[in-house]
Amino acid sequence: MHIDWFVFFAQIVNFLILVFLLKYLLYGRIIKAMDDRQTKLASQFDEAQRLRKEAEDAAIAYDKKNQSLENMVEDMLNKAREAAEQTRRELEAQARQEVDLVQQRWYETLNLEKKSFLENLRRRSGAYVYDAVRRILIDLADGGLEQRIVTVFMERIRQADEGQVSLLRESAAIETGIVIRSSFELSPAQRTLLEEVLAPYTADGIPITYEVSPVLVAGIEMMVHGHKFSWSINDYIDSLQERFSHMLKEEIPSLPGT
Amino acid sequence: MEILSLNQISPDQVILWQWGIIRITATLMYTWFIMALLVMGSWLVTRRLSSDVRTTRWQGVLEVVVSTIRNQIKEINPEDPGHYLAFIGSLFLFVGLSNVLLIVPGYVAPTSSLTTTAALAVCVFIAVPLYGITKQGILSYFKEYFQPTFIFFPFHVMGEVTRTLALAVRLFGNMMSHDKVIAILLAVTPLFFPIVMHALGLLIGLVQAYIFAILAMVYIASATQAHEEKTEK
Repeated sequence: MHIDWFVFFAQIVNFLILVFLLKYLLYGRIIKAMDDRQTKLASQFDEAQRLRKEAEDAAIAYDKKNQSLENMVEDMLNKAREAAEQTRRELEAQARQEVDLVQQRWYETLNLEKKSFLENLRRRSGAYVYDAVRRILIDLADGGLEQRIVTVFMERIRQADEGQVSLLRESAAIETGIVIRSSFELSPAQRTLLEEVLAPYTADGIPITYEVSPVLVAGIEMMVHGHKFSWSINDYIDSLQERFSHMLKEEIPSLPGT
Repeated sequence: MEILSLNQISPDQVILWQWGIIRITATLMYTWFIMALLVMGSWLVTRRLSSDVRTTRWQGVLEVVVSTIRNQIKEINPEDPGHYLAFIGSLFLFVGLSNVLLIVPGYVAPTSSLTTTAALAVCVFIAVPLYGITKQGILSYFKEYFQPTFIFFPFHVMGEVTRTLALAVRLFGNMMSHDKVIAILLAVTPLFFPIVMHALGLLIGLVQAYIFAILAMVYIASATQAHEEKTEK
C-alpha cells in the first residue's frame, strides 16, 4: 500500500483533463441537444395548441355558420311552402272558377237543350194532338177539324162577355183592319161565316186579312188593333208543356238557371 | 498474459517505462485507455447530434446516462445540477467504466490502485472547498469550520481528511480485493465460479462508482447548502 507520487499527480492531471474533455465533448453537447429538443418540442406543442385552438374556433365558427345556413334553409323552405300553398289556393280557386264556368255553360247548354227539347216536344205533341184530334173529329163529326176550330172560335166570339165585346167594338172602329191568322187555309165558306159573326161588331169597309201561321199548330186567332182573340190547340199544348217542364224539373231538381 | 501477478497488490508496481522520476505504470496506461475510450466515444457520438425526436441509439444511451447523472445530482442538490455535472459525472463515468471493464481478460482497473483512488479523493477534497467558496465566499466558507465554536475546527479538519481517506480506501479496497479474489478463484476453481464472481464484480463496480460519485456530491452539497440554509433562516 504505497502511493506513487508521480502517478498520483499524473492521475489528478489526467482526471482534470478528462473532466475538461468530457465537459466539452459530452455534457455540453448532450445537454444542448436535449435543451434544443425540449425547446423544439415545447414550441411544437405550443404550435399544436395554437393550431388546436384555431381548429376549435374554426369548428365553432363552422357550426354557427352551419346553424345559420340551416335556419336560412328552414326559412326558405317555409317561404316556399307558403308560396306553394298560396299558389295552390289560387290555382284551386281558378280551377273552381273554371269548373263553375264550365258548369254554368253546361247548365246553359242543358237549359237550351231542354228548352229546345220542350219546344220540339210541344210542336210534335201539338202536331200529334192536332192530328189525333183532327182524325177524332173527322171520325166523330161530319166536318173537318178546321171547321170545328172555326165553329168553336165563332162560338167564343158570340159568347164573349161585355168587356170583350166593347173592346172588340172599340178596336174594330179604328180603321187599321182585322187580321185573322189560322193554322190552316180558311175556305171561302169559313171566311164568310167569320165575317158574318164579326159583322155586328165592325163597321162597314173594315178590311179583313187572312194569314196562315203554322206556329198556331191547330187554332185560329184574330188581331184587332193590338188585341187578340184566339182559340188554339196551343193553349192545351202549353198546358202539356208546363206539365212536361214540371216533370223535367222534378227529374233535374238541382239545375241552376232553370 | 498477466500484467499484474498475484503477489502484486497495485498496478502501480507494474512499471512499463521509466525515465528518472517519470514512470509510466500500468495504472497510467489503463487510465489513458479509459480516458481515450470515454473521449473518443463521446466525440464519435456527439459529433452528429440531433435535436429532433428521432436520434441515434448511441445518442439515446448517452442522453440517458447524462440525464440520469443529472437527476441524481438534482436529488441531492436541486439547485443548478449542471454546475456539478462535469465533475461528478466524470467521476462516475471514469470509476464506473474502470470497474466494469474488469470483465475484460488482462485488464487491470486503475481504481484498484490506491494512487488513483487517492488522486480522485484529493480531487474531491479540493473540489469541495472550491465549490463552497464559489458559492459562499471564502470567509463564510471557512467560518463554517469554527461552528458552533472554534474548538470544533480540528474536528472539522479531521472530518474532511478522514472522509477523503475513507473515500480513497473504500474504492481501492473493494476493487483491489475483488481483483485478487477473482485471481485466486481462477487459480483454485477455474470453471464457472469465477464467472459468477465476475458478474457480481460488475454490480460491485457500478455500486462503488455510484457511491464514490454520490458521496462526492454529498460533500459538495454539504459545503454549499450549509450557507444557503443559514441565509434561509
